[in-house]
Amino acid sequence: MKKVVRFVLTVVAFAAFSLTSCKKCEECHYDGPNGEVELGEFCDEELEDMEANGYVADSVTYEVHCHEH
Amino acid sequence: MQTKVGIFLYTFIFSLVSFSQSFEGKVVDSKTKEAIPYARISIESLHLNATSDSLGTFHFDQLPAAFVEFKVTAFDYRPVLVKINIPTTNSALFELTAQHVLLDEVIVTASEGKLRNENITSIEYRSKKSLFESGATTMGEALNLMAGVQQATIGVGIAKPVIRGLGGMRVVSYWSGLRIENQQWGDDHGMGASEVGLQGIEIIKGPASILYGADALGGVIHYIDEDYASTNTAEGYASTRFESNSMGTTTEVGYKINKGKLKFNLFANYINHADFQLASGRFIQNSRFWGTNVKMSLGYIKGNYVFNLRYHTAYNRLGIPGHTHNENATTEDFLRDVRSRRATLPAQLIFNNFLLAENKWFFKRSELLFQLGNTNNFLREFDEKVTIARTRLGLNNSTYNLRYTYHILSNIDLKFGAQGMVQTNRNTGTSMAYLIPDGNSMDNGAYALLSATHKKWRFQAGLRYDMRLITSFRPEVDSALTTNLDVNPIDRRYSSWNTSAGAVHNTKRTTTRFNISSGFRAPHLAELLANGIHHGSSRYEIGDRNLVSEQAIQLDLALELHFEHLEIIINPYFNRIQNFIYLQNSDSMIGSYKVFEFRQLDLAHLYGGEVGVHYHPHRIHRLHLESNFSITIGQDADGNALNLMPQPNTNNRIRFDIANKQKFQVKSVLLEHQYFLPQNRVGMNELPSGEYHLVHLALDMGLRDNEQFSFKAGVRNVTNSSFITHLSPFRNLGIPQPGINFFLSIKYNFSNPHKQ
Repeated sequence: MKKVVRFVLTVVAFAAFSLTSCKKCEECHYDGPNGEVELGEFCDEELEDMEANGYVADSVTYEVHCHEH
Repeated sequence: MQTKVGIFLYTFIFSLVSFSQSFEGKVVDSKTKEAIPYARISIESLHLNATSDSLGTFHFDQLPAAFVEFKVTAFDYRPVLVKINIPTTNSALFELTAQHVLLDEVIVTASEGKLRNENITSIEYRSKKSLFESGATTMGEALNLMAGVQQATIGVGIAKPVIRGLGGMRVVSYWSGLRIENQQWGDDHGMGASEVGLQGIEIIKGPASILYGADALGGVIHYIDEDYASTNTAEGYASTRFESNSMGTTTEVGYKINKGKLKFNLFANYINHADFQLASGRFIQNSRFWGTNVKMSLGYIKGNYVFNLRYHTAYNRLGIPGHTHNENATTEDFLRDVRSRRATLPAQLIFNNFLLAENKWFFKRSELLFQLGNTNNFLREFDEKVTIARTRLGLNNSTYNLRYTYHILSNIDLKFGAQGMVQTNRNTGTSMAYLIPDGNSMDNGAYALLSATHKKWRFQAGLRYDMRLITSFRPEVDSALTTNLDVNPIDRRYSSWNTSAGAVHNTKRTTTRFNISSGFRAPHLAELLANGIHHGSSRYEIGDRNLVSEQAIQLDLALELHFEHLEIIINPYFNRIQNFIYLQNSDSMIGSYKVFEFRQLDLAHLYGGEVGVHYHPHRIHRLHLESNFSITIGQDADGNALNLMPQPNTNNRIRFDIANKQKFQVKSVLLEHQYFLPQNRVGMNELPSGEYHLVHLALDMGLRDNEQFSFKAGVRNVTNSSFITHLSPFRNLGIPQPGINFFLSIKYNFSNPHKQ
């Protein structure tokens, strides 16, 4: 029975490892009046904020894109 | 009063119940009467297995006092099915007849538990080994091998099976008895099942409402998991596979243990593919995908009670190819010169959880099955934002299945039961315009099925009533999310009577089958109320709230000829569908998306057939030739062709088994040829498709002194053909399927008798 428990724990660990997402970072940019403006890399909560709220430049809020297309 | 009821129930139950019995037997050759060691004796209804020892003997300790069907198989022998009444018999001598070739007629099907040639309906079974023998990357690709079955694919990771010209919601999937619901209304929503831990796939072709309920107008795909290990044994494996086309890997582990009353199976895999490469050398942008699956099953048997608990969890990230921001897109926009594995958009993230609790009670002359199941599908589609999903849909489906089988006589069985499901579909934070509103549906059905055997005949007839309630809700969200949506709630009730009747006649050389069956499918919420951009399908879809239920009736005939070395199957059919719902390609555009409208035809006819040949030349016993041809013609009452009918196709397989004494052995060579004929019978606004050939080569290898290791190597699409299937939703975009693909796999097996 110990063998089974060990095996189950190994597989659960494998599943947990597979299903757990790692740190998510992306290069972001926005399309300004003079073309694409690179904003650099953002991760996790900063990345979520940037996508949800956009980027403000010269009192204008631009939609931010954070993935290759 | 409560005491009286209690005494009555106690008396009633124990009048039916008998206690567990031990059973022993021997397996011998029918001619020589010599013992057959390593024969496998299975009782599928109890999920019990045993292996005969060197004297051909075996025993079971946990059998209920009831009618039990034994399946006995051994290498180079013809399998037998024997029904035994355990209270009166506790030992048996099974005699097997030597047969150097195993043809399809002796395959035992799970759906009816009969030899294939005793089935009333058209059922085709393939083991996982056979399906993936020639190196198919996905299960969808492997299913192409089965006569009458093709796949509609988006890239490679998303595939939907099409049976005799019908797919999507008209094909119902079951996993070891549990109905799988995974938003199958969308072309871009894949199969939901996984090949990990799979024993085989059984396909019922045509309407199958009697045992499977609503929706199965095209058929049923039954994914059957591996058996438990033999009593008091433990076994397992680890395997890995590499594919050159996508630099893809599939890694899988499995472990099974059987301690008599308690049995346990566990399987897991991890799949990862980068972008797929075309015959031209370029890559399909964002065809990459990865996923992981874990499956568990736990079996328990005591006395007349059998319990099985099954659980499957899966998480997949599927890139959606065929996406561009160019308004005048060309095929070039969807291809790249460099392969990538990096996660990008658009993509689907799908989290599935399937759970099934199965209870069986065996009585002297009857069996009771009670299943409770739940499937949960959480679909997120990311389009423009990495962290904010455009679509978040949660689909929860709870099912029950109650079936009582009464053996009126040893050759007459009556089954009756009830089935149902409760489904909720919710937008859980969808950030862009809704495609479909939130809704519920509830199904309930009751049926009776009588089957009888008389001499060379077997008959079956059944009747079923089903009712489906569909309710949608007015979305209580920002109206910007529901601008286009038909937000007026609906509350509909659909009901239908269905029947099935058929007979099969077997002689030594022939099997003749006749079956007529009906089925119904109520329209889905997407067909009734959709109004918006369906990104996965790259189109704007508009539903129609006035759609009514589809009603199908199919006539299926089969003639099978069995000879010692040759088997021929001819299986024509005619499927008549009233109120056929289809997606009509219109001339208008909304934004950069073409508009498709759900419409209904008064009548659609789908007819055609399958022809199969299986041949082992007498003089070259190591050579196996297998071939099938299938064709489906779909048209309306005026003879106009329907959209998206599969190309006629042939599958041809030649396998040569090699006996050699080398340390490193090539055990067999398999050559597979698939030919898809042109499809020139096309529907309105549909383009014809050209023919194409595919050739695959595979080698099965092993080590002389170590049977624990096995190897496979081969080439898919040897000729590097560039082809587009007629059923591909991306056909209009001109995106072909992948080109040549080299594969290599290694598998390590182990098996140990368990210490008692």
